[in-house]
Amino acid sequence: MTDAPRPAIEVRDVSKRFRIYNDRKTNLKEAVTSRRRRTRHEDFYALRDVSLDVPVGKTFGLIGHNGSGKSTLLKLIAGIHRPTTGTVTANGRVSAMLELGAGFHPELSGRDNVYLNGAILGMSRKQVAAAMDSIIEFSGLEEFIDTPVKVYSSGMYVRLGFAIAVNLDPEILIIDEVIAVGDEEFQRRCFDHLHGLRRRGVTIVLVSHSLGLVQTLCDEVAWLDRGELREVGSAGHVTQAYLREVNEAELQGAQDPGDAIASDAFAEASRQGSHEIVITRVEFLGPDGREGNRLIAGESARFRIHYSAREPIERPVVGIGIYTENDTYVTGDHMRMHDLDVGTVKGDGYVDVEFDALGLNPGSYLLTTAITDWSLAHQYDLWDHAFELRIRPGSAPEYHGMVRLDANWIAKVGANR
Amino acid sequence: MERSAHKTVKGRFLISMVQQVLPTWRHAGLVGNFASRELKSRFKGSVLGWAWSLINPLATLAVYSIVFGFFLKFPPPVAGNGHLKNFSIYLFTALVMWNFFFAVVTGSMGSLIGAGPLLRKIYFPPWTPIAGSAIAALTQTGIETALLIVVYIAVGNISWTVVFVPILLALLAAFSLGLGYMLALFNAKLRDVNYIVQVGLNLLFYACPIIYPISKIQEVVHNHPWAKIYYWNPLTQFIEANRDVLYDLRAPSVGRMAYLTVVSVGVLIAGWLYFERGSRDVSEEL
Repeated sequence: MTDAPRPAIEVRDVSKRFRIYNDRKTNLKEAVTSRRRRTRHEDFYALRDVSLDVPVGKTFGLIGHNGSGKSTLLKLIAGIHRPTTGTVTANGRVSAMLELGAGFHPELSGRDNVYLNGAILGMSRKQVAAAMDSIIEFSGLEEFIDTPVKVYSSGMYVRLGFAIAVNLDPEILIIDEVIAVGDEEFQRRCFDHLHGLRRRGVTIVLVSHSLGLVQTLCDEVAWLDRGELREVGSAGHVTQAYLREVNEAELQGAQDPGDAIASDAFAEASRQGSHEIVITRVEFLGPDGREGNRLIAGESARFRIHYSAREPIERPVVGIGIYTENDTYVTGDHMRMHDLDVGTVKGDGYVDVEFDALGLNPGSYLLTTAITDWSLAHQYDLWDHAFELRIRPGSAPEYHGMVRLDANWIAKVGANR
Repeated sequence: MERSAHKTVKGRFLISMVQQVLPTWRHAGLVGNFASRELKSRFKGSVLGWAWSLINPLATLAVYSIVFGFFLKFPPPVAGNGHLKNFSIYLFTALVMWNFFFAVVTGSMGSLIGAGPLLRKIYFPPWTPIAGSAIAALTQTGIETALLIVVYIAVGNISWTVVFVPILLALLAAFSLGLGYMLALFNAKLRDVNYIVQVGLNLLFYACPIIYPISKIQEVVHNHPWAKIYYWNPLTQFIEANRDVLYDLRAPSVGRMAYLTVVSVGVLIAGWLYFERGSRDVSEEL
């Protein structure tokens, strides 16, 4: 036998069944009158035969769709529920943050609530007292710690809850989608603290829908799908596999005509121009060049702008502008910038704008498109914020901000080596 | 062979008992926190604050004294010192015990339901809020009992038998808590229990010799089979025992003390075992 260290959390063949009563009897009359139909319930398996190990000192992520059993698994690990079959063993003191500040009593002061929460997490009064200063400092509630928590704002509430959970020296920390709280500054402090805990060897298990967060924070990831374990392994590998499937599912969804992206539903109100030549349609073509495809961040894409000229138009210029949903102008481009002179056009045709690697982060954007004369001064046709542009996450890691720069990084390390 | 097998079974039983009781101590801090949370929040926001813990029972006492002592003229017996004959003191001696029982039983159900949101988010033993609320009730009873004893000293009706008071309170605490564990779990599964218990307690209040002396019942329903049930009702026995030691200044009979000890310890163990078995999935019911 090798003496491999025992994992921090051992999950063995765990299933969890919930009974869904069509009409749960919580009063006596029903219990008596419907005695014969007592067993009228449906069984719902939130988890089925899940086995996994969380190694000591690792940060472990759980991903999956809503209802895939992530939160149920967390609750089993935290000991809130018992598995129907199988075992969950946690080797170490578990501190769970399933809802920050859940145990606060509104009438009591922040300080009293810290003692209460500490006791719930299994700390002695002395241990809580020792951590009190760092909790108060971390939460930034120095002035309010002795006022009843009922007057706290929701942000203060959560800050105090987080400060307690991370400062009470946990051995295993369980976090359920709660880090996305508080202001930017507090969030940054939370992350710093989580990284600190990681360095100190605290085992962290977290559930998040933000794959970016999971990829940056976690060492290992388990992917749950309808209560079953699909894959477990290194964070990068599993999130990629998960993303691939999500994108495939999206593609299938896109085949429904109702969900097609090349929207003909132009917003007439936003249209301007003299209309000797008009834009008739815009198509978005994804990596495989088919229409109605989804655009994927970091992969090739093509915007096809169809026009129709009633009379000969000399040297028209087609341009685009991309805006975020809250109307930040991300970028703009037009044919003249690329010296594309098509001469005189008449009748129907189209212009393609091609990207080798679409440099926008996933999200929804609005596209403005226009046809002007060569001087750009006269507008033939302008569709302002008229097309919805939806970009899906791809296999490339998500960048910060909105735009991916086509950047090369060069490092010079250790000049005298 | 057989003997050693018997021994291991016995040993295992002992170990399992120790395993059950030890975590109880480990969670003493948590129980204390629940108790202090209840006490601290009880009178928050009221001007008179803790004074209410005395005003409240005294007001009840005043109402009963006026109705039953003054209007209906229930006669109190002569006390142990030979001349004290006061209905209010006689009543209060019983009321202290009743209030404690009432507070523990209703508090048990309320505290488990109240801890529901917490139990769904963090693991901790579900009996701890119940025990915490019982300790909060004991604190209140301690105050009332201290006041009662001060009154007895003031009227000169006191004897060594006062040492029985803490023993009786401890037994009553065990009895009430055992019952409280059971009812709290029933109530978590079926919320009607709370209302049934309210009605039951109302009935029980008049079915105990609190506002009237037990002799009155014995006069009316002498030798009726139901009189036995009335008499052996543990609460009747607790109340009578408390009147023995504080009002009549005599030690309760050995039989009475033995009966109360067996019943209280039995109810506590039964309630605890039932709760431990049944509360494992209680977080899904709350």
